[in-house]
Amino acid sequence: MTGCLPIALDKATRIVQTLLVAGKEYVGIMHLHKDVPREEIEKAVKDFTGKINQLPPRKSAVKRQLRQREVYYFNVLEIDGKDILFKVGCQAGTYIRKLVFDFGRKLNIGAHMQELIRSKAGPFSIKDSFTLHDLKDAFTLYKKNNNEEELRKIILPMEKATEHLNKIWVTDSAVNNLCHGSDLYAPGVSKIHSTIERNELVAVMTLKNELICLAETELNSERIIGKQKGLIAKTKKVFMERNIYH
Amino acid sequence: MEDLLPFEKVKKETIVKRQAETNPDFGCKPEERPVEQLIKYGVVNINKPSGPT
Repeated sequence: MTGCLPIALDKATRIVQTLLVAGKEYVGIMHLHKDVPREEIEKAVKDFTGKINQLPPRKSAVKRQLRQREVYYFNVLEIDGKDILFKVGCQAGTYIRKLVFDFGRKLNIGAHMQELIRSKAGPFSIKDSFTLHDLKDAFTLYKKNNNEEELRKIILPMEKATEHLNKIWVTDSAVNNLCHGSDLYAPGVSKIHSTIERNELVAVMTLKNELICLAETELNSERIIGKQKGLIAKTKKVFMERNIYH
Repeated sequence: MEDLLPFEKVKKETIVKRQAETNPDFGCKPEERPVEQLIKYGVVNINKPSGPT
C-alpha cells in the first residue's frame, strides 16, 4: 500500500482497530485494454457506485464468497487514452484492484489497475500526512535541541483516531473504573452523541476529551438518555492508564 | 464540491444527560499533554512511498 498510512505508537497501538472499519478513499490509475468512449466510462462508474457485490481476490485475508460493499463515490478525474485517473470513496474492506477488474469486465474489454494510493483512512487524509523522513527530522530536532515544535505537528494525540466514532463522555468519578476494565453504567454518563446505535463501537471520553476506552453499546442514544441505571456499554479496549482520576 | 466519506457528512450533535464539571487536578486535555506522553499515546499520519510495507 502507498499513501495514507496512520501508525499508532506505544500505548496507543490498538487504536488502529477503529480504522479497520472506517471508510477509505483511494486515487488510482486504471488501464483499459481497449479504447472506450468517455460517455461509456462515465456511465460504468455510476453502475459501480452504491451497493456492489464483490468476490474477494484469491489472495485475501477473508473467506472467498460474494459480499456486499458500498462505494460512496467513484469519480473519473482524467482520461488519457486507455488510462483513467479515478478517485473512489468506499466502505472498509472493498478491494479496489478487484473493482477495477470487474469494471473492465462490465465494459467487455478488460482493465487492470496500474497505480493506487490511499488518500484517506477514516479521519486521516493524505493532505495532512508526513513522510517518515519528516518524522525523523522532527525527532532529531527534539532529541538534540530539545525543540518539540515540529514533533508536535507530526505526532497527534491518539484521540484523533476516534474522530469518526460516536462518543460518550463520562463523569470524573466513572473514569477510573473504566480504566480497570469495568463496563459503563448509566450514572456515569454525562454527554453522548445523538446518533448512537445499539451494538456500535463508540469512544468513551473524559470531560477533558481524553480517550478512556472503546466500548460496544447496549442501547441507542435515545434509550441511553432515558436510562437511570443499568448497563450502557461493554468496555472493549482500555487506553487510559489507571489511577489518573482517583 | 469535495467528496466526503459518510462520517464526514454527518453533523454530530451532542446531548447532555447530566451536567458535570471535571476536576483540573486529574488528567489533561489531549493537546496539552507533555511531549513524552504525546509520544506514548500518539498517532502519526504517514505518507508511505511505494515499496514493501
